[in-house]
Amino acid sequence: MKKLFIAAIMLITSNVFAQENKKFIKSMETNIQLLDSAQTIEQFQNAANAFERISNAEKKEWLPVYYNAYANLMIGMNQTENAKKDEYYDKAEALINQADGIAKDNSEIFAMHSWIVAMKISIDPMNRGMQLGMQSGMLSETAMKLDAENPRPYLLKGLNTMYTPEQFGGGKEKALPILEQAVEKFAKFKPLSSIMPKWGEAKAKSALEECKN
Amino acid sequence: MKSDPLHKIFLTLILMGELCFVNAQTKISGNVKDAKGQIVPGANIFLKDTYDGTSSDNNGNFSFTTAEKGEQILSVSFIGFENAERKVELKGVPVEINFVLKEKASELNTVTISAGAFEASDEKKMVMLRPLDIVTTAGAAGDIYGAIQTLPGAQAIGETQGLFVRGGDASESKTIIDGVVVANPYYSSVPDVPQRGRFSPFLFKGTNFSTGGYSAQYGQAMSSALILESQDITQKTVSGISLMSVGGGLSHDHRWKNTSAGIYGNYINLRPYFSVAPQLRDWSSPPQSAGGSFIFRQKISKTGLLKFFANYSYNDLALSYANLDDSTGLDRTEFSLKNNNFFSNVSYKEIIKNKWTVFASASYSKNIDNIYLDHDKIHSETEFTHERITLTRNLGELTIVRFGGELQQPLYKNAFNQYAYERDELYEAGYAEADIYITKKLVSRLGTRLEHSKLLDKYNIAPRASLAYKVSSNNQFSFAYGDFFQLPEERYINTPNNLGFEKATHYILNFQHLDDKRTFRIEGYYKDYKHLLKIIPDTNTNGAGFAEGIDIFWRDKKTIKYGDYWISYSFLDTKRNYMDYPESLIPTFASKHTFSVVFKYFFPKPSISAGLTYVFATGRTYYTPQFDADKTKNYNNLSFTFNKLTSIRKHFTVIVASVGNVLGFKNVYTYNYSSDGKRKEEVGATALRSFFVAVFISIGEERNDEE
Repeated sequence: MKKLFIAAIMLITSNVFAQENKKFIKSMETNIQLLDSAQTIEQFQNAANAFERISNAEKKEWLPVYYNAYANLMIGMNQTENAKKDEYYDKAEALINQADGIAKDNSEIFAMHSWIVAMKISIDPMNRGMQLGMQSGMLSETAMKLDAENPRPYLLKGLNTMYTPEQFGGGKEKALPILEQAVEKFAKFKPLSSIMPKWGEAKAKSALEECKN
Repeated sequence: MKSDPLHKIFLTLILMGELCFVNAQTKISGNVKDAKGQIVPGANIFLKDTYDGTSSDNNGNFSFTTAEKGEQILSVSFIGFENAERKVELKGVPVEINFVLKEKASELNTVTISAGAFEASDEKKMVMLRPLDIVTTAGAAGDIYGAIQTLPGAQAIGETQGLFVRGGDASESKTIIDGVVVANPYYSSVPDVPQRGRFSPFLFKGTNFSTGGYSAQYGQAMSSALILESQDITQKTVSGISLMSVGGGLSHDHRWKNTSAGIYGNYINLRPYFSVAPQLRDWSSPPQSAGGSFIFRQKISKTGLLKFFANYSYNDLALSYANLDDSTGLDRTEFSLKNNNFFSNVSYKEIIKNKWTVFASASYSKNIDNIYLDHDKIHSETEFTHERITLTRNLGELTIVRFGGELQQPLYKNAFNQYAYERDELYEAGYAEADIYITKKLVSRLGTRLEHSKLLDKYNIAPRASLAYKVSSNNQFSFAYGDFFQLPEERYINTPNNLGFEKATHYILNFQHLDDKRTFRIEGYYKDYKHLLKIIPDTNTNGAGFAEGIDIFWRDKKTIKYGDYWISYSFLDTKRNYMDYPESLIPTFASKHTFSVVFKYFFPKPSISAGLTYVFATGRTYYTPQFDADKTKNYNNLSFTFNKLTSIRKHFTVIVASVGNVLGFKNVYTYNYSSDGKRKEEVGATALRSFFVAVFISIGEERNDEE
């Protein structure tokens, strides 16, 4: 009787515990797929909201906050008015800073942050280029130092260089070697789990093709 | 097993327990709107600390089921709004809740005080000017004051340095860097030769040019305050070389984790330039200057920053003037000047517990002028210390309260041959001010300033009040009123004396439209001057005056692709009875109509940006020694500037070329008279046209996106 009792308790508690961890992974996997297939602002907003809910339930996890930042960045890129773009880029930056508070010295977080700052520059490059340009560069360099195998900072540095005018030290020629490195690293990269960031390979390949022309 | 039925019951209970986890779902639904009644699609509605929730649809409606039970908190969030929360009781019975979201305060929906102020900042989203706009204005040659002169309210004065704002003379405008007054913001000069500002515009991240009605934090400037905020910690380690037609300079900025330091040096000599560009002055020794600066920044904490700045410069020049009192016209007066100037400033800013901001700033400066006027020697020394502390407290969402105090100790030592005098002043002031947001669209700033001067042995209390109302997201009205006191020129203050503070009372009303493409601003003002210093027939502060006018500003960054222009117009009507004026007269530093156009265009292929500035001002009044009035002809000036971005051996480079007064207008600013009034000479620009060429090279890691 006692054995049955203990077994029953263990069944119930382990069930509940496994449910929670599985719930997190399953939820993340579902919503990462939603994010990957999203095209419209509405779809990105649904994904962002889902990640906000997950991060609200699992306050110690940085990944839902990270993907929430990514989704908000995408919404910003799809906006037409500069004021609205700024609003979403600022929200993405606040979220990535929150993620940094949860997981310090994380290469993916630094890479995402450098992308957000690069998008903020694009709204008013003449005036923001000076200060923010340096910040964005420093963030992607830190991301590279923290994890030399992470292909995403190389992709972002390559894209940034591509869209910077030649007089400022940019252009397709300069971007080519950086994007080649990115594509190489993507081929070798294996994410540590099913929910760790793995985006960008397609973009790296297409950007490299553009630079070759 | 022996207790089979018990076993069965137990298992059933367990199973039922499991089932308990599955049944008792509650349906939660409702709708999300904003305060104006508009639906909010895409809002996030969820139970706090759980996974359960959903997004609102295109009609603002939401619906989801949850297995959570008991008392829970239902939370709603959407960008641009404050989060909303409601307590819910989940018992398996459907719950319906509608939410009304409150807008978050942002630059777009919140009103700001704007009367009398032009702000250039990189940090705000909607500003009239960016610091870069000031640097790249043609005709300014990178001088802050040259650029400010193209804004409405500032008069086009070419014969002497200083900002002459809305009928006030140069002494009525003060330059403030990080909260401390700069006693000598311009290089020392000689009569009829204007000099530039000492500080490069690149040192500053924010510029607030106030043409009146400014905050109770500042005083002793009856017309305007140029409030400059220095750059924060530098981002990268980089060196710079500047080669100019007038001299050269070197700089090095270094960045460590939480520290940055920079060192700068420059040497300017106009002799080579004067030998190729004809000058309209008789230079015995063309101007030369040498100097250096040191800048240090240290992050004290996540929100605390310590800044230190020190600058030393030496400049000298010598000029020969016609002696108008000599009827043969042969005698000349030799005027030579040697100046040594040291300025230092330390400031500290820290945010405590997210509610209090402490700002403390102190400066020490010393300026020594040694002047030879033929055989007379003038020695003029100013030693200036200034300390300030301001505490700011956030109350509620937007309301801010500020209070603090400052102490200024100027020590003036002057000697003319063997006659010497000293003025040792102790000036103390305290201030308190609140920005009260009655609603997000209506704000009132109320402040008081209390001042005391040891030299005058007097107190004053200055009220300041402004009101601003945001009519719609891009339009607002603003009103400002205040008393602005100022010490009369210290040279005339003997001890004991019967003088008081000079006073100007401002009334300002403005309307502005500001969106990310165009800016329009119209401002009307009336300044009532009282107790102005008079020195004839005796020294007293019984003078008076007034200044009234309208300033209009229009800026368009979008209509012309790659083009950006602004137009300013000022109407000024002013008279005053001060100094040696026998009665109320139009002062010599006021034009009735001033008009300027600043235009910049970027050619993307060759990466060249071109700018032009055109200034027109109607003639200024000038007086014979007997105070008979006449007017100069109208003033015209067209200047061009070109900037090219390129690279030298992979180092980022900017090439600058500019021409002042391209069309060669023979402008006359004023006239000098002989003592008997029989002879006069024109005072015009120091050269008909001016030229400037420079190359700036930046050496460091590859740079992106810099202009």
